[in-house]
Amino acid sequence: MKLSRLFLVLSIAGIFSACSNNDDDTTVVIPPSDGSQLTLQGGGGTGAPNTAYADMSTDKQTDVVRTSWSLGFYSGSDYRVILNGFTSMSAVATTKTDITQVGSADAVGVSLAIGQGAGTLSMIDDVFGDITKTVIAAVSATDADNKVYLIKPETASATDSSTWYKIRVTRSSNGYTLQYAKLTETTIKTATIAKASEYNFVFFSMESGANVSVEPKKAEWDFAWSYAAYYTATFPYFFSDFVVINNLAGVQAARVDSATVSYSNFAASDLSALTFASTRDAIGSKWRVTSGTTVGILYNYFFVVKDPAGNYYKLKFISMGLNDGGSRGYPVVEYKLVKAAS
Amino acid sequence: MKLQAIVLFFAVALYSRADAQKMDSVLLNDVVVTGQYKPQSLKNSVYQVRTITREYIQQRGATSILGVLDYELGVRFANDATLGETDVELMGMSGASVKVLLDGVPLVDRGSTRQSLTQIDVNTIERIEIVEGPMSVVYGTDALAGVINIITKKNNNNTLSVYARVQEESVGKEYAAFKGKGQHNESVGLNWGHKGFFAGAGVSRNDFGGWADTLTGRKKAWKPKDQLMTYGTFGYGNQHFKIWYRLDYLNEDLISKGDVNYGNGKATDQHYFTERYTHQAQAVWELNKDLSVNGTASYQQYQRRTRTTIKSFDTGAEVLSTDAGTQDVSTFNTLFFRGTAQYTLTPVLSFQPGIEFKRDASTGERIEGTPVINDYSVFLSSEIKPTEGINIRPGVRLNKNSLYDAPPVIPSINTKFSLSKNVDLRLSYARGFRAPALRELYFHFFDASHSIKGNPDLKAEYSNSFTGSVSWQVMQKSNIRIGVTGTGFYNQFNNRIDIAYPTNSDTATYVNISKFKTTGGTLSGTLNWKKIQAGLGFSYIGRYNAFAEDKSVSSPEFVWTPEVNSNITYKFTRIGATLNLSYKYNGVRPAYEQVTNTDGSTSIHLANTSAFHNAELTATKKITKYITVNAGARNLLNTTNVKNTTLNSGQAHSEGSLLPMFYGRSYFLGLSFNWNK
Repeated sequence: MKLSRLFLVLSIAGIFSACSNNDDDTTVVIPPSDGSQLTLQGGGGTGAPNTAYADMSTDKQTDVVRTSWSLGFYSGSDYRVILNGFTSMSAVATTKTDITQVGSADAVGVSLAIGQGAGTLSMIDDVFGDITKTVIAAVSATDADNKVYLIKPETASATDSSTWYKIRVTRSSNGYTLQYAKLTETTIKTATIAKASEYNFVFFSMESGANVSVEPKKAEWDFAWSYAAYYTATFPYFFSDFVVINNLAGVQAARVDSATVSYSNFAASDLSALTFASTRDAIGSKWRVTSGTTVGILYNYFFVVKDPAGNYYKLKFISMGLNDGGSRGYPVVEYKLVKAAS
Repeated sequence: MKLQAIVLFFAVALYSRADAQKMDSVLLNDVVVTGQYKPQSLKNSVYQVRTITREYIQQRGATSILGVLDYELGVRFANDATLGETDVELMGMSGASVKVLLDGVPLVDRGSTRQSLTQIDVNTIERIEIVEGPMSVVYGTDALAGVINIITKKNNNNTLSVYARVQEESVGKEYAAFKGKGQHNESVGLNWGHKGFFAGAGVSRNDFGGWADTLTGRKKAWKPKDQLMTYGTFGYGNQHFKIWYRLDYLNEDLISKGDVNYGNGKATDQHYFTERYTHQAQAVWELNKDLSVNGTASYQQYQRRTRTTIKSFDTGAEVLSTDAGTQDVSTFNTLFFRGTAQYTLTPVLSFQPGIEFKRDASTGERIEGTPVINDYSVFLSSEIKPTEGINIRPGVRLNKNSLYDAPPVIPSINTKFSLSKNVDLRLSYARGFRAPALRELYFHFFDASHSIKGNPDLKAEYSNSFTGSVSWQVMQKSNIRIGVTGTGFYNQFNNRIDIAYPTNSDTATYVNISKFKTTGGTLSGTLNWKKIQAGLGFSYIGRYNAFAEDKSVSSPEFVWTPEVNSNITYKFTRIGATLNLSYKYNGVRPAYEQVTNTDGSTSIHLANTSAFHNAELTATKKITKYITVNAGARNLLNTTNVKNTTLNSGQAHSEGSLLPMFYGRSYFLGLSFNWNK
């Protein structure tokens, strides 16, 4: 903490001195944080209400209400729509393309029950974060190819399909057009969503009918802690205290056994021996155990994370509220710069 | 199948022979009370009753009831390391189907685990009676596998007696004098009687220091537990009338300390505080030689409080955790009344009509609302003795419950035939039932990975049970007595309550879905020869394998576990000493389980819990008229954790799990003082 603060002070001092000297800000680069501790504001409990995004290079965390959004519209070159995988949202395609023709009859025989052994992995987006494997098929330039989907939000009832949504997404110029309504409603709402290149996704809430701010800019977060969709064996399972990396912005992570090299001894020279994973679940649930006789953080492991800028940080979990003096839903992490981006 | 089972049951019942347990053959004239119209000798009881005597409890230096049940045939313990609780299994059925009674009063338990057994002061017990098989006509719900009735000491002679006891015990190799590591038991009490009036009081402390096993930090594999138990009783009795009141109080602190997290210098600690008040008042009135009435009333308050604190080793500050579920209070209050009358119409025919009322109320974080259940029952049994040596007791119980559909009619028939002077045959059929517990009706637990809800539409579980036994007094001479008993049973349980997901729902609830069966038998013999008492027993118990119904895989209907126990006591009469060796072999316990493979397919896997041996050597010696010293070594074979080859231990691809069974070889030394006037 102290060191990074010092850096910050120095940098700010640098800015000021830069300003006073020749009014040329652009030559000043704020160095990445040397390391710190962060308490992620998950909001408490096992089903924590918030997703907390962490950015190690700026020692910042951003918390967002998990259920504040429904769909994320990809800002990359593909046209893709993700479900809110930080909630137990499930979806299934219908055969229809005309949303006004979809009603409760289309839910007959359809189960969107998910979690606790119910549901299939086809109802949620790829748990490894592959953007080409979303439930909702790539939004086609040919409108007639874009099907209507049934979506059950976390708060909806698995047995009452009138609480579900029906949606259809088509392309618009550099963006998307979303048609949506509750399954039995006849008035279809429409929203136009433009891509925003600084972000992975543009997020939309069907509850509020508006865009919502969720993820920080894609270069400004490394990993997020949340309740999240994952899997066990071959079926979907929702994990508390799940950590996803910002794989779409190039973040990678590797788990290190402290028996090989300890957290304090780990140095830049140890990086070459690591195998980094770039899947969204590279940290996932691998840092803790929540069932069985011994629960809590696996203190014999730590992680090395390459952030979007290419800085390498070693990262360890201090407390998660399972017999570790911490509070559930407010995990504490500690990290240290191993190698700054060149 | 049913026919086959009945044949098996009779076969087992007829070919085998033996006696109760341990020292029981000496005690055939001892009276038992469980399920009886009036105190009855073991031999004349229509039920096959096992008794554990005061003498045996003292000889074993037991500090809890579990400490004398552990060598019984068909009794197994399941220790929950996380909760620090022990459940008892009787004849293949878990605690939920075992009814625990204190002088005939059903004891309240928080869940299906029979914690009450560990929360009674062993120093106030006169004897323990165990009846296998359903006794639901008299005792109502939960008495499917059997009944454990704890009989307290009562005194209405003109005497004054004072007792005191100090016992120190190691827990494995861990021990510290009088406090902390090890086990520390102190007890003091007195009993007074004068012209029919009597009173008694006592207090006991039982501190268990926990056991670290392989752990090195603050956390313990076996949780430390401090118990304070006290009781008071008073009453009046004459030849035809007896009335008494008794209050038992328990205060328990189960301590679960967490390891220090060096990352933040903090540790999370938990305390589970249990408080119990068990009030009971009982009266027996013999109006005339043909008619007597009994009344039993009880009020029990049970409270369990969870306190979680976070201690900082940097600042020394200790604060309450604010996390969900970390501070909780659950309460259970039960009001109970049972009244019976015993009427002898003719020497051939007598009746026992009875009524029972029970009111359960509970609150707690995971219980929806503040539910109250009222339960009303009437029951009637009669005893028919057509000729000498035949005793037939049919009975029926009618239930009405304020909430769930109680089984309307619970029948039973118990019979006893004296085949000769020395051979008694007992055969019975009974229906048992278990009412849905408050928790099953009103459970409410929703969080990230649980959505479980009680089901107020549950029906009771019920069982059909067939039991039989033959007792043969092979020899009854003054210096040698030999007895053998064989028993057999077949139980079929229906409408068992299990957690399941109704179709298309993501909320789990309790439903009446599963079936269960148990079958098996025991064969045991006792020998009393001069100064030796010896017993040897064998049991073979089969538990139902639910996967047997799945025809796609082949697995047997029952999985079997053998047990052998032995008990040898030698009395050095001249020096006032007794030596006892107890031994029990618990055979491999198989269980089929469903395993989800990595490719998502499921298969059936046979998981075995390894066999283990228990042995204990104890000695007592009177050193003065008033003082007895006892000492012993428990768990001589140093059993600790028992291996289980399950693949479902919460960790993928695990090599099985270890079940905490005992904490290694330990030693005790105690002094007891008894003074009578």
